[in-house]
Amino acid sequence: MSTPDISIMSSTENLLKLSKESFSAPVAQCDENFEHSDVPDWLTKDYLEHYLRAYHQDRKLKILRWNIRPALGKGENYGGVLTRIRADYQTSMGTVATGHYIVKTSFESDEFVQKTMEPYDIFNREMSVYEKVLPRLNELLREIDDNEQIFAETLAVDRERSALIFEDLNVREFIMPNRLAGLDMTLAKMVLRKLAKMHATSAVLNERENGCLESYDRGFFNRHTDNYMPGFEQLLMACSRRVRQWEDYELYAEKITNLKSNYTELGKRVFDPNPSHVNVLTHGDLWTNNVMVKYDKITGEPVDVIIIDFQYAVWGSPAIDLHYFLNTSLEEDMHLHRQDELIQCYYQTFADTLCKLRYRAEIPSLHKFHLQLEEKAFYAFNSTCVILAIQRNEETEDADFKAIMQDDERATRFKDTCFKNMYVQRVIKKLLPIYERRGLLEVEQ
Amino acid sequence: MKDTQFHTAPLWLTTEYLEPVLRKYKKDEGLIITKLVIKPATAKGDNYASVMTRIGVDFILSTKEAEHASYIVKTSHESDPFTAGIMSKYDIYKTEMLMYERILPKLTELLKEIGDGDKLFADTIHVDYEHSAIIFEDLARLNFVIPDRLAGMNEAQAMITLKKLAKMHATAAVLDERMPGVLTKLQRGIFNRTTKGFAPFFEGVFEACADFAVECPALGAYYKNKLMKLKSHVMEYGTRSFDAYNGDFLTLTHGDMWTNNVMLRYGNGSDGQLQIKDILLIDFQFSAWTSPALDLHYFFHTSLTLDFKLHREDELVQYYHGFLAETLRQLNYEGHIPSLHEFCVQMELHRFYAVASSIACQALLINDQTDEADFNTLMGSDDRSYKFRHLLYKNKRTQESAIALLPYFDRKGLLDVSD
Repeated sequence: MSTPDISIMSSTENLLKLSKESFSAPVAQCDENFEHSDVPDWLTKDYLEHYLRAYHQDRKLKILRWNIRPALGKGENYGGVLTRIRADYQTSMGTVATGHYIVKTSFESDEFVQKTMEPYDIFNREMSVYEKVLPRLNELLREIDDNEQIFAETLAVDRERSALIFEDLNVREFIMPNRLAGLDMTLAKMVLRKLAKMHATSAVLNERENGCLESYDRGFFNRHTDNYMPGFEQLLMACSRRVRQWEDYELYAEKITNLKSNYTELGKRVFDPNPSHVNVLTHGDLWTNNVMVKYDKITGEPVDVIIIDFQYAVWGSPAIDLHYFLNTSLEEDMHLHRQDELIQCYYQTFADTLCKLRYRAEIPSLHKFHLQLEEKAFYAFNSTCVILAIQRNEETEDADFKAIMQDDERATRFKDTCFKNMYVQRVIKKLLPIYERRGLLEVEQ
Repeated sequence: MKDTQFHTAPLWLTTEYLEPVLRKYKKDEGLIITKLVIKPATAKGDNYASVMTRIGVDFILSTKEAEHASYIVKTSHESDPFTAGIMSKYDIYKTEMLMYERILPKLTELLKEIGDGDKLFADTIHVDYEHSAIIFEDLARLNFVIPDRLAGMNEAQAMITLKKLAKMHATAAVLDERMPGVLTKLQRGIFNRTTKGFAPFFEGVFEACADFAVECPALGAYYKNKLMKLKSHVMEYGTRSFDAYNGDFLTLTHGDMWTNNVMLRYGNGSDGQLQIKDILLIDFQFSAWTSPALDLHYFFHTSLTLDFKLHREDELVQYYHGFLAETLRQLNYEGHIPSLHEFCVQMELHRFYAVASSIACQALLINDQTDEADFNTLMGSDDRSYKFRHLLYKNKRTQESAIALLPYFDRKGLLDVSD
């Protein structure tokens, strides 16, 4: 069990010292929009104390003081409220320790948001994944003497309130990488290696437990609900509007517009598990903001990464995560020119882990794996031309769920702003002809 | 230099043999041959599988008109048992005869059906099963030329070749629907499930490439090791790349789609500039019923410059696919016309053939050291053969190609041994 800082203290003097310490952990950009109403009213000291007692198995544990505030600002997270807590607590032994936690809770207020998200069941899913799946994946890694940590440690899962309590990774010096810059080669490979282990262990778990992960069937595109489709389609149209402004790109704009009529079906086909492919529990939303990085204090080099946020975890092809990640979260040069190298890096760990765990089904060769990726290549187009713009958006004033999903003037303006981003325009401009030449802009593919 | 080709011209090729043939072709029973000149038609390094003989014939028709005509006679290596032995396993003579006699003329008819007067192939004069010979019109006399095999095709040549190839593929797929069982019998491509006769060539040249790689700073021991491990699997993986997979669009491939099997005719355009007026495909010895992706991989890697291979493959595939789909539609093809992306997936599926074409076939076909360039040397296991195959990798373009493409193939997992 990885633990928060435990400063073992025995005197009142030290207690005082503690109380004077400022909140020292580095935090991501936030704070100007601190609204108390974002913090759920049931999130009290007693509430936290109850779970800390369970986690530490110490019925006499007592919270002495705590500090609570929102963890993220607008545009950083579209699925839930994150609250950061620091608590000084005393154990039954008399020792005093400091714990840092993130509490993740679902939206409570807006009816439109609630209704739109409801069929995706993201909060229950994430709780299930943290409670039932990730610990099993960790077990599988231990089986082959792999002690890497891929996910955040969960302290508690509260199904009644749809809340998750995590260790605050900031304290172990994990921070969010720069969302606007994209990951470099080193970081990207670190993420991919962890992703590969997650995928591989999930494939093995599913095999050993009779398809237990196959019921995860509600990714962004799925065969049960189309609630997010208007949002994606409008983003597609916003892309088309922007592309039309570029000289000699009318043909592409036209094709993108025509694509709308079959867009959701093409997306769903990406997510349909293909029985002849290797399938895994995918992350479902793997981009820069769902990765946390620990940098070396002196050299500034990345040392470790953790993957977070499993609201959209879905059973399917690893292509779902790879096309999404490689086309939204990398530095420009890598996005454009070096994806094959990254896929090879991912694959080596993926195949190796499957092999070590004695996966019984066929482990595809690298070439066969590339073939499976190519079959799902529509998602590469989607990630670059529909999703990237949202993720690199710098004008965060209107950046919320409604701005994506609705089609009023504010929402349309928001989307058009996203596609005005110079970086996004540059990348789309370079990749559109390539997607077109591979037939990925055709209505019937 | 002693003209060593001369003695391989077939002995039965005489006036007595040709007169009845010409009488039938010209539809003139009174035709008389007055003069027959026989010469080799190709030089060393142009053709390994057959003997090509050019015949110049002077004759008088029954109308007393005197005419001159020139034909190409294509025959097997009957006098060379080594070559004949291997080639017979590939059935190349039977295949080509069947193509010229029964299949190609029908493909031309199908195009006429949709108002396309495009000529894809040379006219057949005569097919002789007994002598394993085909006589066809001498395209060289009609001002057709072969593009420079050492330099690689330029854009215009490449595009028009792909257009013709697409039409061949489309018409063949439709012909199979109308005449089932004939085309599908052709299963002896360069890789096939009946023989591994070319193994000494493929394995030998892969080894030569490996030896080049280890001496090349840009590549190194990593690639030598990979290629040496791959060497003993090349024939199997090559054969697998010729298999039909679920969902593949299938048709009759050309089977040996490279520069020397394309003939171009130039003429003046409306602007007075020299432009390509026509192209014809020749040499159908390795035609097989399988994926057209194989023709494309082979063509790209034996006949085009590096720039095309590295940066413009998808553009060429798109261009080809446009004509394939359009022609299939016009002919009311009843099968599934692959979408462009489906075809791209098919290209990916069969991509090991690009590796074999690039590393081995290309090295042979763009070789400029032709003194030793014959089939025996290519396939032998003695020192002379070993040296010749290693000589192939002294060619600058071949080296550049390996340096640029080996890493690309490696990243795609195509140099991996997986079982």
